[in-house]
Amino acid sequence: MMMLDGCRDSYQHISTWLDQTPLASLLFKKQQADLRFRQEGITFTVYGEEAGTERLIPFDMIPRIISASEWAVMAKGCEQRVQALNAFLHDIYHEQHILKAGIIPPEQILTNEHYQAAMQGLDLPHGIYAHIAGIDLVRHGDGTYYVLEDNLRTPSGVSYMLENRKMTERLFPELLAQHKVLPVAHYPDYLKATLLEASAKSAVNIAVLTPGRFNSAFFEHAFLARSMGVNLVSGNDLVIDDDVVYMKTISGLQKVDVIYRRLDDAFIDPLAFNPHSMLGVAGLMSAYRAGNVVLANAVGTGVADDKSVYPFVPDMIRFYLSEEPILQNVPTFQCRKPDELSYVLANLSELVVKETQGSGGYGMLIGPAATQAEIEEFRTKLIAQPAAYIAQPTLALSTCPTFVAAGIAPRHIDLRPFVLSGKTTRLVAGGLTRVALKSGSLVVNSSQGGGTKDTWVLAE
Amino acid sequence: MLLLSTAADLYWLGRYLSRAQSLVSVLLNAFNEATRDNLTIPLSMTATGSYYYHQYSELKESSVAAFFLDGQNPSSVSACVASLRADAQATRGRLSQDLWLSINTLYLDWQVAFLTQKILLLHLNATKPYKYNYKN
Repeated sequence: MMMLDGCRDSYQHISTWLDQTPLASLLFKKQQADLRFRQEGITFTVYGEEAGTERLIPFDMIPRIISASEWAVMAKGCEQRVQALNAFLHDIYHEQHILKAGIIPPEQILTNEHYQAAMQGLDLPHGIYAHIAGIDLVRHGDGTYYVLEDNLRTPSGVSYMLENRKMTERLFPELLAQHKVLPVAHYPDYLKATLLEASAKSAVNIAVLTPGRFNSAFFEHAFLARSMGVNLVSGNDLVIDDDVVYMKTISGLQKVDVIYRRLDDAFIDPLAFNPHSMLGVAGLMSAYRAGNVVLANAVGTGVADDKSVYPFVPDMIRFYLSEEPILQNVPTFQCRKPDELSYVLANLSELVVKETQGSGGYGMLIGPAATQAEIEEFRTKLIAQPAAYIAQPTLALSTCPTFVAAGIAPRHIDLRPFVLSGKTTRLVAGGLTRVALKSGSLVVNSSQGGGTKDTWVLAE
Repeated sequence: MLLLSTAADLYWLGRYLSRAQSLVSVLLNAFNEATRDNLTIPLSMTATGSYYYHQYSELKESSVAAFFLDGQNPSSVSACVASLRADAQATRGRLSQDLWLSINTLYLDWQVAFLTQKILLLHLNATKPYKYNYKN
């Protein structure tokens, strides 16, 4: 919010409001919000504790503001990036031009654990693989936004984006009224339109496939299904007959054309993948390959959001779209390259090192915050398996005022806009802002104690 | 297009809700006038007489109350509330916001009340039985 010469314009009202509002009043509102979230069941289930312990994702009431001009660049940049990623996915499951052109080493893709041979040669409507993409952005000290990570499998968090806005409307309507904030509530409409366009057929029946109520994101699955007016199904609500997918309803079997699946690839079909999976439906891959059902997102998208493929995304934009990337990657060192590895080993205390197959913020080394022992331990891991890691400099990440135990203090944030790809690309203005609640921490993931904020994109 | 599983879950949601309601009214009646007959009604209604006597030697208010608050007892009010909430979660895609809020708030309030009662009951079982009022 602050710059060296004072408060940024867009935060003027917030700054005044924070100065004028007693902390006790903010605390009271926070308690109201937490109670409301708990009553509405906007919780996530924590694995590994007694069956289904539900936690609230900490919601910070102070909104994060993005100006119209900043958003215009981010939206175009995300749209461009997702277009290139979809083109890439189509390419590697067909002619593989980008590999033949020598831009990406073939073994990076073809031996990648998420590359799905079963998808080779399968033509999808409009060539779209990632119908729903979450692009993680961070704002650097120079005011520019960089892409931290792409999420093309089952990106989540959109329900928090929507519920946070509703909560702000409830708690601080007068503050909201002082700004011209672009709406986000139409996201489920955009999502439904995208899913309808995912199928080439005219009359399309959609279902949301959930692993069930003990999944940490179940609230979101139910929320989106209800908002779109479509059925929320689990694996045993579905049956495949003659390569066609049906739902078991009280009026008999009803055909399903598009499945918004929130299961990982490995679990969707015990006949094709993990044979122990009770979450999927036997024969789904067969129906998929026969073209009788569309899965959103497609199987095999994980190869494109892998951290080892991330450094090539700007090249993909140039190769498929013949354009220069609007949004840059965070500078990344690929440890599988010997010269980059030696630089990383020499500068471990300054870098963030991540596993290429990691997620949820686990398995990372944050150099500046690590002890000597932790650095040495990581050094051994790096030397043993260099190809499993990438490294990035710690950015001077932007912060946002956050209501913490000690009062209002700056905490690091990121942003995840959601990009919907159908016949056209659709985004609602903003996305999910995640905040690292520990002072100085850069880890925003909810599984590691991160929180969320309402995101305001101003109309002008 | 109502799914078979949703139809089943909604049916059971209603059953558990009505079971919980009738159990509570019978228990309130029993505690209001703690005769042997009145205290036996909830046990015979749920056919849990022998299960009760495995755990408690005497038929007294505090024990009957504890028995029907015990979440481990599948015939307890607590078990009914937990089951009906689980059914509401499973059918969340189909319930109105208001209905879900009512059920979930009942469940959350019940957990809090149950915890405070549990402490009270532990105390009670250690002393002589006496009449106490349940608040709705």
